[in-house]
Amino acid sequence: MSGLTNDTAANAAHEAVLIRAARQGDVEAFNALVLTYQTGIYNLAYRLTGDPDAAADAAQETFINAFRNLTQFHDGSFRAWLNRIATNACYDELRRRQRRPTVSLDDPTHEIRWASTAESPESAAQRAELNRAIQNCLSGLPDDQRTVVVLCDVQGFDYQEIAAITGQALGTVKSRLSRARGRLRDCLNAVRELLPDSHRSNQE
Amino acid sequence: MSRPFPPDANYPPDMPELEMLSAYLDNALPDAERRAVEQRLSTEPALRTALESLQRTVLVLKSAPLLAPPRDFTLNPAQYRRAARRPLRSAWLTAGMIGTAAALVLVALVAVQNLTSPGRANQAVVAALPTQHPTTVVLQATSLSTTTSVAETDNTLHPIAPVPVSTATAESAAKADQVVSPARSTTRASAALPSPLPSSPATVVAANVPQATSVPSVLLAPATAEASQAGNGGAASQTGPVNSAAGVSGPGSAQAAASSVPATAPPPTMLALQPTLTAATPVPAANKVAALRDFIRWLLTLLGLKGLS
Repeated sequence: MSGLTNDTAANAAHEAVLIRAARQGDVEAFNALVLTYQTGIYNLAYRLTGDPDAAADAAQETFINAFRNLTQFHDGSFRAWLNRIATNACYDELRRRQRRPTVSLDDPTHEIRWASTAESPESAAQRAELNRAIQNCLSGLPDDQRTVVVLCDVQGFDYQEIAAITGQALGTVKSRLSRARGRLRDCLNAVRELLPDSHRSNQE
Repeated sequence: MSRPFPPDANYPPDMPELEMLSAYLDNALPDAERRAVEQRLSTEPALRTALESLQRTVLVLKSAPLLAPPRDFTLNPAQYRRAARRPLRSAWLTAGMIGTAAALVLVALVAVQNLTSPGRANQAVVAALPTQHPTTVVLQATSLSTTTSVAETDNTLHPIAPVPVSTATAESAAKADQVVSPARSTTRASAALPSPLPSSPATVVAANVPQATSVPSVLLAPATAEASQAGNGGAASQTGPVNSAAGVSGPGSAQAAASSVPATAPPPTMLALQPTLTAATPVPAANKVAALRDFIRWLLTLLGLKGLS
């Protein structure tokens, strides 16, 4: 446990050094931060927009904005601050494309690559099916509900962080989250057969 | 078998229960409510099923496959290295430059006057300040106060007023590491200020115009070196002393330095004028104008108003 704590503290200290350097214009230091956070930011953007291209645009915009506005980041979670910029960038993308997020996974030109997960039991085909089912259901949500449930259950933020990221009240976060989960439960239930065995409901 | 819920117990009909279960899942319920839910869960199988269906949903989301980014989103250093400083180049930056320029021109005028009548140096300094002197000086002093207040009220940018000066200098000298942080500029400030000198008449100056001189009095210290050097015809870019001036006149450090300067050594800067000038060779009237012109030309170059890359 102490080893874990030391790692966490060391990582935080290292990140603070990078942020300080980046704030003074050190692009290479900022790029080190980009490499650390880009997978998470890209996945947030993908889950929010439902489109790999829109997600890439939003992710790039996120890091450009972050670098330019680093003087506005003072303390607290750098990751949460990045996610707030990313969430706003995704809303811009959604408005710009003027359509509800659709899953473009049927398009063969959009070949999705997976981040390496050593301990995934699923085959590539299963993973693609799971992803498609999940993203279909997410894209069917209203924007506000989708944002909250992705921030919570995909990105792992707590209620307070989500409230800060979205600028919503705590109560709003709670109710939107519960509605989103309820709708997702119904939607995923309908495609239950497509889900890998480990995700299917128990037959009681 | 009749149930309070529809046969498929995965669909609890009541939204309040959904919100309750959702918060319970996240450990976000107050203790009393959490205990109430646990009590119900132990006696209501349908509620248990509802909770489990929610849990499964969250688990599916947590196990959503992680996509690899299609490319790196790193920034091109050549394109973005200046972007960090670009926010500094805004309207108030220009005001800061003008104010700093005004302060330094004020120094030049004062220095030049002192060259002609060294004995009346202090009177000239007092006269040069807003109360009695011609319009130009009044305007310069006024813009100084304006600059200070503008720099203080601007809270979106890093509160270092003369970083623009450093930046201009840095860019003209092609040194990227000249952008000073507040900590470093303060250090330079304390290094740049001369040791305390006997107070006498300069105290009058400090007392008369506390507001307007709080910035220029500090600026005068390193700039004095410039005046005498300009008098000797040196108009090249002065990176060292300017950076001291830049570091010294940040609003935060200026206020601190200025408030400490009158306390400990009432403008030693003003007094530095005297010893420096009496030490310098008296300049004939004709060269005085040339010296002033050279000084202003150097100043304009410094501020990027003439052919700065």
